[in-house]
Amino acid sequence: MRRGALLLVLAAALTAWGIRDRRGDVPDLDGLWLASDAPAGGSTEPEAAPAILHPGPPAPAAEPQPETMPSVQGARRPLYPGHPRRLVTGGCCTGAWWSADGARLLYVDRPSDSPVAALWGVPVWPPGANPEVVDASAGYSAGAPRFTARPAGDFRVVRNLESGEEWPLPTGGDPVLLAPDGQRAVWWDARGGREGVDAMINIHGSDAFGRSPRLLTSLWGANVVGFLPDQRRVVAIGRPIKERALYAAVTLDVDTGELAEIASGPWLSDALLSPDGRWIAYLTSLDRNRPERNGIWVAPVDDPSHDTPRRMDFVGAYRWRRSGQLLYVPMASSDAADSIWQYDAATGADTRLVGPEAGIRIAGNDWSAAPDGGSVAWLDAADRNLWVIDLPD
Amino acid sequence: MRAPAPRRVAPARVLAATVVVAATAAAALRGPEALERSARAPARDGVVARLHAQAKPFGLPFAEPPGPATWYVSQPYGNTAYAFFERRSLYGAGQGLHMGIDLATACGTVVVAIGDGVVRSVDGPGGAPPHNLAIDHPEGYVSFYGHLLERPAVQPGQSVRRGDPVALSGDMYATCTESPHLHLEIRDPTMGRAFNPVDFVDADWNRLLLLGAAPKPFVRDLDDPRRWQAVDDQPAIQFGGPLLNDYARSWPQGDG
Repeated sequence: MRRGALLLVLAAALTAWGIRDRRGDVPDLDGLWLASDAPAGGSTEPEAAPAILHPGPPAPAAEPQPETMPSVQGARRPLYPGHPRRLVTGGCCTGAWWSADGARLLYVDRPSDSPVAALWGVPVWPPGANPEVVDASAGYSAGAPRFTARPAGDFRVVRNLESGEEWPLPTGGDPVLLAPDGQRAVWWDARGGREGVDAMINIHGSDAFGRSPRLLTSLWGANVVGFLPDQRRVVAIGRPIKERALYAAVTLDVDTGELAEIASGPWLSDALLSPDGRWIAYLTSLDRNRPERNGIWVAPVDDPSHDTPRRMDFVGAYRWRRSGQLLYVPMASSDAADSIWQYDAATGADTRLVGPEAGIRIAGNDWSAAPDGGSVAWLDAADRNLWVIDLPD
Repeated sequence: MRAPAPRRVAPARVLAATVVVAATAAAALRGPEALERSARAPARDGVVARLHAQAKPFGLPFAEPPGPATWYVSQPYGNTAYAFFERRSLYGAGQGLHMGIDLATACGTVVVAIGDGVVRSVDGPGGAPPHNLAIDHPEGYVSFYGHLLERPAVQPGQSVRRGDPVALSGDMYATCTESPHLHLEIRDPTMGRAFNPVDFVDADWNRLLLLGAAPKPFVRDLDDPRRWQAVDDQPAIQFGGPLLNDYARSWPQGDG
């Protein structure tokens, strides 16, 4: 019964698109669009790309059979692996991120008919859902998905998107990350430019309201990656010695300042924590003398003596999907479209989840995995809109 | 695995695209400003952007393929967050924007000429210490290579061919441990304007950016947050002109 109703919704959406297309209008799809039924080129613009540039998938032989998967909050929605859907029109939304429940994508935008920029959200499901203003303050993600933070002089104003509560944090104007449970905060002198990249960076911690702040550590060119699931420690990267290009990834205890090294390497960067905090992926580079030290690595966060960092066979962009499952998009490919692969840190298995036939072309490495790992969203290089594709398990 | 999608190219689109390519080629013959106009407007359209790419006159400045062991894009041209924070200092002369593309690479990496041309200057004007090189190209542009390790061995007036080794990359602080990269610019013959190298260097730039865990950030003007947010949608720079990114409200925020 449920499947039948969903197919009816899908059929209605496709029919609506077809009617508009036959009218010869510039299709205004009010959001979601199934790429498999789109004109080749993946855009609604009349002069848009022919297939050679953004081919999109072939029309399926039969209607896709939806799979279902529990989201992080237990709700269920149909999944259509291998079939890209466009969520928005107008080329609006670089740097989007997922809401905590995975139900929508959030981004800062100011459509032409809006007086000010705001935080917008577009539902991933059902088809055709329109973007809506989520928060008029245009705040940006503050680490945990339910918090945003916006600059206000020497403060960051933190907002709880679920309760509407907001409060200032005396960060000196620097960006802040909140623990997912909202109990602790860290901020660092990320002033950008040379000050951010090449300077000694101080990392501070406190409770969520900025009380009892303490200097946790100082590292050259430091950056804070995020909180671990214990809500007490953060992972940071930086180099201890200015004159050496050897960076370290460390854990920092916000309460005690205790520091422990996870891994180190030349120009270690792009560190990313797995959702369960057990693994870290990172990039090391530019060591001409010992090329075996360059590459993308996966290492356990705790107990490094138990397992050593493993160098990946791929070169590309990566995001965590679920515990130990690293998604990646290879940089080098002879295909016109991008592919999405999965590396399983526990088994070492390497699996292609989405092939070039899906027609994905990611703009500027702007893509992300849903909190439940069931989907990937990306900014499309051809039409600069947000798209989403469901992944097979 | 399914077979590739059949190409469905409407004849009118092919004709339109052909016209665009022809117009672009013609613009290239007319000089920087014409090509700039032709390049910027269509950059929002994937078809035209790709077709335009076919007409790009230059190649990459390294012989080796990209990767962690060789080179990768570390900062795009234009409205980058890095340049925004330095808009009143390091990038003030370039209207607050990053005047070129930074390609991270170890000190001593061989830099090759991106096109046929004649060496214009060695350690001449243009900044990007400790050493730099400028090459005049017959298409009407100048390629500029900055943060070189040592004074390039080529001489002004010397002819070079695309792919010829012309310099060694270095570090902007001359340490090789703080910021080793090549800074590549495309300028007009007066050296007074800089253009987005993405519009001139024939490469799949979106794919070159597919390395690591996050996008390279552009700063947002919260009064116009869609503007200048893509590697292939950036304004030309008039050296000495007013700041283009002195936004009243921005994200990230910074005094610069």
